[in-house]
Amino acid sequence: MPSTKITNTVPVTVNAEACIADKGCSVCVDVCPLDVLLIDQAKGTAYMGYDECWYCLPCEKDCPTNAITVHIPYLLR
Amino acid sequence: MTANAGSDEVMEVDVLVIGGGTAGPMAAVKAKEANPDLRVVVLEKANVKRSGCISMGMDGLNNAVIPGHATPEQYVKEITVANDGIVNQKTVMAYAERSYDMIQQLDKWGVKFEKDETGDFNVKKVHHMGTYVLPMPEGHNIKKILYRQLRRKRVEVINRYMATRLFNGPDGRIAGAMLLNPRTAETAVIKAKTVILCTGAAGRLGLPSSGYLFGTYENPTNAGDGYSMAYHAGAELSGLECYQINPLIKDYNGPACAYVTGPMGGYTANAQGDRFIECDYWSGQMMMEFYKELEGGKGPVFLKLDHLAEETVEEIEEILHTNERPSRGRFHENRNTNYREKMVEMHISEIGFCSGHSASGIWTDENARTTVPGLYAAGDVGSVPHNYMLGAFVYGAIAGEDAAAYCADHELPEIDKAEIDKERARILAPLNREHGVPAHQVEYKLRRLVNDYLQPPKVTRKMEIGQDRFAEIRRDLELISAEDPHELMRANEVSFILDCAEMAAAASLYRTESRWGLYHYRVDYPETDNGDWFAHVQTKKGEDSKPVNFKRPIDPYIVELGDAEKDAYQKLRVNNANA
Amino acid sequence: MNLSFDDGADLDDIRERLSSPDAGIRRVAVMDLIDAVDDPDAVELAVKGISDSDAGVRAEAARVLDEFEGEDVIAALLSALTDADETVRLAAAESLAETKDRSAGPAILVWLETDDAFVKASCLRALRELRVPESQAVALEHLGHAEPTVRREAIGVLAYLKDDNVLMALMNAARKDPDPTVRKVGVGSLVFSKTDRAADALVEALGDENWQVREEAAFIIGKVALGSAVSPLIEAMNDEYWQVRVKAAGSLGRLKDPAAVDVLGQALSYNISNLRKEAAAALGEIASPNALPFLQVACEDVDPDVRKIARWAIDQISKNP
Repeated sequence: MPSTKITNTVPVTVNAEACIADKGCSVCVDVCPLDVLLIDQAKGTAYMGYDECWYCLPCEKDCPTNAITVHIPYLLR
Repeated sequence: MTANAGSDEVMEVDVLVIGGGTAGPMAAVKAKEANPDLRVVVLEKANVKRSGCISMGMDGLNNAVIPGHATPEQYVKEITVANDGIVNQKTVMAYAERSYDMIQQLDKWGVKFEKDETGDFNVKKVHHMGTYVLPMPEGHNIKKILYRQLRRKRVEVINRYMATRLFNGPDGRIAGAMLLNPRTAETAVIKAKTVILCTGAAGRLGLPSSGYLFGTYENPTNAGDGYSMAYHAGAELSGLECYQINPLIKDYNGPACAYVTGPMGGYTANAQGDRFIECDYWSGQMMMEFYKELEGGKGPVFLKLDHLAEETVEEIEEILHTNERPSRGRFHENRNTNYREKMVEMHISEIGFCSGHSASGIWTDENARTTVPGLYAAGDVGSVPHNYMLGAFVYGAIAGEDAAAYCADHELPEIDKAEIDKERARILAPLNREHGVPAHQVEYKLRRLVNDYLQPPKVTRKMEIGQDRFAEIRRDLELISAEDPHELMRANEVSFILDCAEMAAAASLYRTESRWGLYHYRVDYPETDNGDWFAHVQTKKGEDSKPVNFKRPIDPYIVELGDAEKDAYQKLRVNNANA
Repeated sequence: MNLSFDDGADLDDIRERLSSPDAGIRRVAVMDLIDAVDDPDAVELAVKGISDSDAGVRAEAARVLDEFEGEDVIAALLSALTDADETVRLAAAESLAETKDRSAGPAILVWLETDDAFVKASCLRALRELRVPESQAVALEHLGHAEPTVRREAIGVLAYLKDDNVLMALMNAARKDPDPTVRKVGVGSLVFSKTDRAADALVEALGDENWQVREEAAFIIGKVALGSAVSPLIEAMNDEYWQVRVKAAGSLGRLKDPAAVDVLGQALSYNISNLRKEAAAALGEIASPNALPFLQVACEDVDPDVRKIARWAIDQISKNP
């Protein structure tokens, strides 16, 4: 079947200044139950790769440098 | 992209625990304590540090059976009444008898329960019946504590692998599981003498009214994996027509936490600010009253806290915004909902399976054994009703201990190589398809159909149409394509969800009466029929690979209900019907 | 074939990263120690982290140390209570409070000799759970400390020990402490006095200027079944805060004195339903036939919880010969 892409806003934002993924940190990626956070190896920061969020917050709470903010997904805000 | 299509790495273990949330870590720790020489592995689709429905902690126990406050007998009675009599009391008793020991065990490990100023447990009396509420205002460290125990007891942990199917040995007993890595699409096989399913609720069955696939009441990681795997392994499931439906904060879809706010003076009210629930038990009857008020002229329903003092509201915010579902604070903020000024709009959840809150689960006895030798189930996926978090811990412990004993006199069964090859091909197929339908589209449609056709009030013809639609989705499974291993995980989860939807429809159609209030309200069979239906409804995989249903008689009660108790409950119904 | 997927920590690798000049790398290495709590060599690395030059590393070390036990761990956490960085200090206090090891008592007691209020409060907090008798004298001394947080934790230590000999001191705190939070904790601590020795303080607290102190007192009086406090509780049924009246009603129910029937009956017409509910339940506990007229009205209450409890209460009265 032919297909197309649609753009979604995602609930998790990462402060690239604060993120220490380049130092080997992967806490947010490790703790996400839905495995939706990824690390951009080129930039050395984490980001949300899939719009599949339970807004449960371990990524935000466990981040050692407070680099993550979880917003309520737009559809249920 | 094709992953290892050839051979799979094989690991041989004694006890394989699938699911590292609540029951799972406890099962593994207790199996290891029972016999430290056993090889015990916890398999987790996410990461045991933060997995399962208590990933951010828990704000209280609502079924704590603590001497001086409630007796096991009293608890068994209340659960029996709350479940309209359809319980295997022995399983409820097995929980109740170990409830307090488990609280003490968790306390010793460092889990924080509310205590009075002298360090004694601060059990809250909610009403004139048994007292079961023990708050946990600082209950956010629970996963950390479980993780520490796993490490100390040298349990092996496998994170980020999902189990897709179980294997049976030549004699039918459990033999192991197929694994899929959702980051690399690698597959693996674990051969095991025993498997303990601790995979939680089927949380992605109905679609939340927000339409957001992952905005579910339950942790959406729990797609019904265990229900589906047990089914294909030939195990009996029970009470699948007794859905889980819970009251919650509308759109946010998180619990209202009545047992946190209740002892502090908050309550569920209608638009006039009045209480309206007659039923004393957390049950389908209560949900029916909730549903009627929601849809009625005095609706919708709210959580009322605006009559409380500033100091109390601050305390409630502190607890609710740091535990279990802490993002609710920012949800309210977005909508300018201040507990002090506005009641919080509530709604009911999408349907799901979860014995933790209702009674739908893999059939287990008081030893957590399923009907397949060597296969156990504990926590939300097992069939012990109203088990909640503490029941998951207790049944995890029971399963771990029993599995350890089972290992002592059983050899590792063989797994048929052809079965492994077949399963590998099945789970990897979406990766090899091009231009197929993405998993999220199929999932959305499937779960929308679940809402349209299975959500109570249940109507026979609608459920039959639902079955036809599900059959079409089953054909669509062959069209799903996945662009990466992550999507492959979602594709395989769709197949779990579909199995659950088909089982829910079959069990609901089979029980031709109404029971458990809203959970199984059949509009065309509105009466409860104890003559024909005072029995468990079981579901099993049939010869034609479709679900078959049959009755299982209720075991004789070990705690008899007085006439007054049964009567009181019936009276409530009558009053309500007249209202 | 024997494949292990276990993601446990590789200590050599962590050790190497800990010697990196990059603080971020050292910090992540310390965090990884959480996967190594079963390795006896890990504790030494965690302890070392507490003296790192970087505050982020020290904070992670303070956090991860609650996974470990032993003298060195306690010593490291105690020293971190005076760290220059507040995050480190708070993390250390939290980890210290987690210890269940009673042999840590003497080391913690030594630190109570410092002048720093934060250190004192944190040490008292940690001592509370340990319940070591030696902490009693020190805690008593700290009841007079200038900082409310220190006094609050000192009460905690004493209350956990449940020693009748310190009852006077706790009563004193409940009555006279200038801080309402401390007075409330003081009132709560009197719950272990199963005699009426604490009666004066509890009754006095019913007249405290702070409503939460009064609420706690009304509750504790019922919990310790202080029969002599019925009249003051009846008086408390006129408190301006309904929250206090709810607790007073509950306690009157526990004390089962028929003298309370009238005031509880009147409370059945108050506009906050939580209070009507509690009053109906109390009347059921007392089970005096004099309550019947009140309860019959309550059976028609707009609130179903009040109706249900009123029915139950009437049932209790009919069972009471």
